[in-house]
Amino acid sequence: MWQFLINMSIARRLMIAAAITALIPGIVISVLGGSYIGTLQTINNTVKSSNDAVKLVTDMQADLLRMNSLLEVLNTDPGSAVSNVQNSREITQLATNFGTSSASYQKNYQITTSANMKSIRDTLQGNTLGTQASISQHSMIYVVNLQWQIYQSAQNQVLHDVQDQASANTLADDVAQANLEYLPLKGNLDNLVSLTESISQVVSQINTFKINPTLFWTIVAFLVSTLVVFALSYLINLTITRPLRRLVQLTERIAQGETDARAFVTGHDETYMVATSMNTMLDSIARLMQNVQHQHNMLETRVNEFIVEVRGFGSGDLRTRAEVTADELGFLAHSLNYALEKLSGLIAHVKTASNEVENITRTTQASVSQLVPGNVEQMQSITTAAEAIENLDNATKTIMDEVRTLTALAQKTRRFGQALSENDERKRAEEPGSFRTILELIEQQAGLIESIEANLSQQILLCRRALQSVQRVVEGSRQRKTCIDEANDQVSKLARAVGDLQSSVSVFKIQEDHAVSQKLS
Amino acid sequence: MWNIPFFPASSKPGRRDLLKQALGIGLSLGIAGTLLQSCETAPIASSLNFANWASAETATRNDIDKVLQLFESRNNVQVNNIAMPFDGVLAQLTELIHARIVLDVMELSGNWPFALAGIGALADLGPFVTRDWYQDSFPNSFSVGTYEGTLYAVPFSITPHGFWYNRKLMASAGLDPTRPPRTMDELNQAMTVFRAKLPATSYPLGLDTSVTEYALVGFWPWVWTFGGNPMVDNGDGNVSIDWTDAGTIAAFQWLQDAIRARWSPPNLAIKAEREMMAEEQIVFKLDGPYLNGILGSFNPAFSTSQQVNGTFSVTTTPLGPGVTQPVTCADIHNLAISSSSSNQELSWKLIDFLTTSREVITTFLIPEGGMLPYLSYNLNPRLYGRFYADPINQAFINAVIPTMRAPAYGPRYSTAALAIAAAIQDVAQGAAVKPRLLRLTEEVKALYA
Repeated sequence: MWQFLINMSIARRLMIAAAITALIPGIVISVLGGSYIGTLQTINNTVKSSNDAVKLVTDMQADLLRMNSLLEVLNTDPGSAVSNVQNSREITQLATNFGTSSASYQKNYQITTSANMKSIRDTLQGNTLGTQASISQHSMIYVVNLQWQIYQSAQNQVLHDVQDQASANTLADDVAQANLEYLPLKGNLDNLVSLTESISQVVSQINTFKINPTLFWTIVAFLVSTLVVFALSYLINLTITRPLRRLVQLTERIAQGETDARAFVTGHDETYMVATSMNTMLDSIARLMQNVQHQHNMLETRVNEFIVEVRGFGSGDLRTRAEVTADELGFLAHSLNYALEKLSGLIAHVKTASNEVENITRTTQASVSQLVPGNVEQMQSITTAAEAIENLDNATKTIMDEVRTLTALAQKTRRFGQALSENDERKRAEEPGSFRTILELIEQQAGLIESIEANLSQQILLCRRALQSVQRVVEGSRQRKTCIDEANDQVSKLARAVGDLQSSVSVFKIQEDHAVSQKLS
Repeated sequence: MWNIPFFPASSKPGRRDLLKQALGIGLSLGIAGTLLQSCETAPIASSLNFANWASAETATRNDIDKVLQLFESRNNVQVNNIAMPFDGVLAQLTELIHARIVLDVMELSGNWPFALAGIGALADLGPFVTRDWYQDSFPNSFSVGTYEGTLYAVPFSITPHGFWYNRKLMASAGLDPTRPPRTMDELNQAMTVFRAKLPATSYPLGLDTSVTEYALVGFWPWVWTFGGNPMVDNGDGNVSIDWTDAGTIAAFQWLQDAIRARWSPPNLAIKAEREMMAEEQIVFKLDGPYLNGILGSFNPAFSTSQQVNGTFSVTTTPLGPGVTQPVTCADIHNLAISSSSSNQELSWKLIDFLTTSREVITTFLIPEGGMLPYLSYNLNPRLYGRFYADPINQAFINAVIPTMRAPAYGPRYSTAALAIAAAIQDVAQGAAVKPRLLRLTEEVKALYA
């Protein structure tokens, strides 16, 4: 049964539950309604019968009262003969009515025997008061009938006295005797009336009680319906809500990193299908996470290796090369190697140029120093110096271009490093040493390059200023020693700048082939 | 957020929660149903049939109805008050019993407890009666309810016949009103005087000559005072019957002579004689203490006990030639329970109520006129002694009741009593005494055979 239930689809399950929930109140209403209508019919019958009984016995009471009052006015006065006859007839008629009513009451309204009183009998059955009332009614009917016969005899004796014109004393004695019989009869008939009314009240009371079972069963039906609804709710909770709640708990456990957790749902309903899908999805996720972890480990290893490989780069050894692999770091290594290659070339150029500048500067210094002795020679020397300076300016421009290219490359590398660090922020957080080292190296190199660029810019500026001075010397006046001195100072400054440049460039260790090729070029 | 009571949003409803909620609803509805049920009035638990003659008489009907209604309301029962004319009680009771009509409680008198106990209609009341009551009762008051050693009826009202006399009439006749006749001779002399002085419609003595059992209650003292003892219970259930002994013949002869001498009115039943007594047309009469109230019902001049005591007095039956001590018939109104009563406990409760309840005593028993069944009730002024302090009641308590003697009551006695009453009437009407008594002896023997 349970298996059948949990194999059933949720929609069908809910539909059956709804049908049961609707069906039970329907059946209950039908049954209780039918019962209530039947009870009302019984109540109507009992009320009618008891009312009829009360009316009949009340009529008997009135007949008896009238009979006895007529009996007491009978007398032996000859002048009352006509009224005596009329009264006697009426008494006889009333006696007949009373007898008929008495028999009718016993036949139709005696609870214990009458077919008419079946509904009342059934109503009173099992009720203590009802049973007592039935017994009392039986007793009182018997007593009334017994005493009625005795009274009727006494009454007939009085009527005979009147008819036979008996003596006044005889009539008075017989009337007195009839009166003696009348008093208990009247008392018992009064009791019968009260009892009949009491039975009527009892019937009404019991009729009220009769509604109680309907009320009771209504409450029971409500309770049962409520219990059924609760049971259905519980079943729905058991077969639908609880599995769904388990799935919710499963997702919470997985969110907390418990990737081994799996859904366990019995049956073959929609929840089971969802659980199965979730389990499959969880298996896939677990596999993916394993792969990611593996790749992470590999990358970490490569980063460490990469760091080892490029460690010399930080100290200015541009001969170092990173191993270019096929993974994500390959591009970085390739870029770094390329940058190193370019940087090495540039450094070689810078070194070569600086050597040349040094030589030229020395020559210029020598020339400038010779300007004072002779103007011609001085002019020539100045011209030569100007040419040398122009050559230096050109060379410096070339170096500047190279340095700018190198700067751009360095900035590009920095951005690449930043982008890489942002993308792998979590990894960087997990492995802060390796990446930080790389990024610091890149930053150092970029700083060096920017420093070179600044030196070169300053050199170019100085060259231009020297050239301008020389030109001013060449073009303007050869006489101003001041200018020559100035030029000499400028050249001296240039020489110092070149020295600074050389010392800066000397930090870099480049491959010999670069230096050779630069010299050759 | 709304929190639905049966489906809390904060946490999932557990099995226990569901059961608790279902139980809560069930209990709530159960309590509501119980409250609805409890709003209904408590039904009457039971009912009783109480057969009595008090309800058949105008003078006592209202009083007995009142006390019964009190019992009904106090005990949540219904009492069916079945009225019967006094003279027809035994016959009607017998017929109803034969018709299997259950009369739970019955008011009985004279021999009726024996008559009904003889046919097995009465329940043994021994288990209900306490020793205290036996000790606090008039002598012999339980004996008239005891048949073959079993108590079938308990005293309700002690009503033996005392010798009533009209002091005013005595005084007007020149007799000493303080000295009523003590012997039969004195009585006869007084009646002779009265006959000469009273009008024709008045009589010195009232003798009930109706053919009723009760008529015999009033005649037994005359028989016994003349020394007659026509029916003797041998104590083994056998009764010796001889209505022709000298004392009995003398009593019957005295009766006939009294009627002939017009000392007593002929063919009058006790009711008519009581009416004449109330109208002061009869001087002497054997009657019970209840005559006190009856006189008032016929004549407003005697509506109070004080008024009755102002005219009448009571003493013991005059002594006849055959006795040395006055004697009267033990006439007691009894209460009995039907052997077929399905609720004898409740029936006894009614009897206990009728014999001990202050309301019954003050509303019914004292106005009715009999002595109360507990002796101390009649004597103790803190109880009801003050109601019995008048000379008439004192005479009954101190003089008449001690002279009570029970006839040879038995199951056949009531039937025999009618034959005896018929003989009394015959003799009163002039039948030869001895032959009639011989015939009576044969009739009674035949009934007891």
